[in-house]
Formats: sequence, structure tokens, C-alpha cells
Amino acid sequence: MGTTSKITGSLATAISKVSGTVISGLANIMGQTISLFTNANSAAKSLTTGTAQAIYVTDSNSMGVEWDADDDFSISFWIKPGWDLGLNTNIHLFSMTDAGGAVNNGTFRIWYDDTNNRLNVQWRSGGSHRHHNFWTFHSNSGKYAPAYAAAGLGTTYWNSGNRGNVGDDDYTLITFCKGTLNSAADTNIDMYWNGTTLGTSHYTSGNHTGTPDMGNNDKQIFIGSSSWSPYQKSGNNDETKFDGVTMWNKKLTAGEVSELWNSGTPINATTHSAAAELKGYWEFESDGTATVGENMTINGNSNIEAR
Amino acid sequence: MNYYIVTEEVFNTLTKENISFMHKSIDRSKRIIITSDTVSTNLNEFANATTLSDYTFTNNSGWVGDGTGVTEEEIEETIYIPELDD
Repeated sequence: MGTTSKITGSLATAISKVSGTVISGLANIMGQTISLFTNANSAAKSLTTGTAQAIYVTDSNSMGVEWDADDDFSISFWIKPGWDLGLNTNIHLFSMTDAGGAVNNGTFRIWYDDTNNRLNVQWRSGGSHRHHNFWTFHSNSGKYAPAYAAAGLGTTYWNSGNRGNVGDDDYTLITFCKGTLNSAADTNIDMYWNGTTLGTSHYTSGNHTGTPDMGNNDKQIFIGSSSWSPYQKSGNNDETKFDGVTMWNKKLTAGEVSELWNSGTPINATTHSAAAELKGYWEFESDGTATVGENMTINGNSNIEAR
Repeated sequence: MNYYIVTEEVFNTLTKENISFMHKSIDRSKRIIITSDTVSTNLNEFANATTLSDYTFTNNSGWVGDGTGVTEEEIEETIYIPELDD
């Protein structure tokens, strides 16, 4: 496009520069805010088990996510389940372990127990040093009622045929927030479904065995599988899709989670009010390139697909 | 503790408060359980969590859909809660 004095009836997406200025440098035109954030694609986790099919990053100590057990942090991701009742196992949604390590080497994980309808969180440094808690969705009574309402799954378990309350394109935002205590007590952790807290966790004081010592080691971070062998899968009926994975160096507040949820429409996390604490951010628009942090590898039949 | 596979019908007759672990088969017709009770009408009995886990890896098509099995970690960590069993 040559020099233009007026634009009438042209799509803004067709314009790459205005008067020699890259359009991303513009905040607004004629008082209208310009949003160049696009979110058309996501990462689809292969239906196959193994590292050759994994979506992962090996942290080389520059990301700032080498959290110890007494660090505060938050993990958030958009997910569109691809499993059905036939998977019948523990489905790891987010998992990280010391680089090159096994399950007991500084592991933090969020997994959905397909057989019991529980969303679990755990960190551990040994078989006898682990902290755990969970939320469940199918009981509409007592302390479980907030999770029942937030998820909207009813009495049927979470799966590709029953996604519950969702945002754009049938995606759910799952956000886990941890405080500075080395404790899975309800007062130290929060789990959100979209922008709504799941309420009180099952174990009010946490399910504690020993005292995890996570250290500050480099991590291998896996999306949609465990972060140790055999790197289990997260879908069987269809590929489970992940989008907008973020890692924050703080315990996000309810308001900050609501801002991230944005009524179901993903935002550019670098514009979030807590962006200064954003240590990892993967948009999965064209590949595993990190917007913040280190790039992810997307292996095998795992790939980038339309949301 | 005792380690069994039982049918759904037998499971429904057991004292739930004495069960510490439960995993349904994919077709929901059978259950793996760990209980402090003795259950004579079982389909299979195992010596410990290791042999139980090994069985599920060998016969995974009936128990998990990802080609693996029920790990000892899962057996140890997934506590059965009667009021959450639908």
C-alpha cells in the first residue's frame, strides 16, 4: 500500500504499517483501541504415550519457574478435553519435574482423575515427601457445592462429551494458585474453573506425607502428559487441546484470575495487570515459541491446530 | 490389608468405610479394591499393591485406556471416599 491519506472501508487486518510505523506500535487510531492479539490456534496433544509425542520445554534456569516448596506461584491454561470415559486413568494436564528426573524429583503436577472425577494437585520430592489436595465436581452438597456450580458438569464426569461451563470455542480456563507456605492446606492454595473458585479443597489441612524439598533446579515442563516416564497421554476419543499456558511468579488473586478469564475470551497475557510476574507464556499460534520464557517442543503427532 | 477384584454386585455389599482404594473397570462391571475386610467372593486376590499393579499393566485393556496400568503411586495416593462414590 502506498501513502494513503484516507482509509475507508478497508479491513484493519490488511494494513501493516501506517505512515511507516509498524502497526503494533500503535495504541489507538481516532480514539479506538487496536487489538492485534489473535488466538486462532492451540496445541493438540497426541493420542499416543511417550516423549516422542510430548509437548514440553526443558528449562535452562532462565525462566524463573524453578520454584521451591515455599515459593508462591500460579499455573494457568485453557483446555478442551479430548478424553472420554474409556481413558479411565490419571490424566496429567500440567506436570513439571527436575530436568532429567523421575516422579520423585521435584515434581509439581495438576491432574484429572478420570475414574473419580477429581482435579488433583501435588508437589513432591520423594515417595514419603509429598503434599496433595483435590477438588471434585459431581457432589452438589456441603463444601463440594462450589466446585459443582463452577464446573457445571452436573453429575456426569468431565470429558469430551461433557465439558461443563466453557468460554470461547468450548475451552475451560484452569488456574491453580499457591501461597508461600509449603502446605497443600486449603488456606494456602486455590483452584479456579474459568474465573470462579472451586471453593474448599477436599483436605482442609492438606494431604501431607513428610515435607517436600523441591530445591530450585531446572525443570522439564510437560503439557498434557506426566513429566516423567511413560509420559502418559491426555486424550483417547480425540486430542486434548491446550492454549494460553501461563506460569506466574505469584499467587494470583481472584481478581487477577478473573482478568485472565476475561469472560471466556483469552487475552494477551503480556497485557495482564500482573504481567511483571509472568515467567512462562505459550500461545501456540504457529508453534511452541514462547512469548515469555523458553520455547516448547511439540513432538510426533502432537501439533498446532485450529482451536 | 487385602487386595481384590470384585464384581459390582459384590462391591455393593461391602462395608465402604473399610475400603481404602477403589478403581472401576472401563466397562464399570468390576472394581479393584483394597479393604481391611476379607472378601471370599472375589474374582482375583493379590498379595500386595505391587502384584495388583502388575496385574493391571498386564491386563490393562480392561482397566485403563492409555496402555499403561494402575501404578503403585495411584494405589497409594487415591484414597477411596464413600460419599464421593456415585
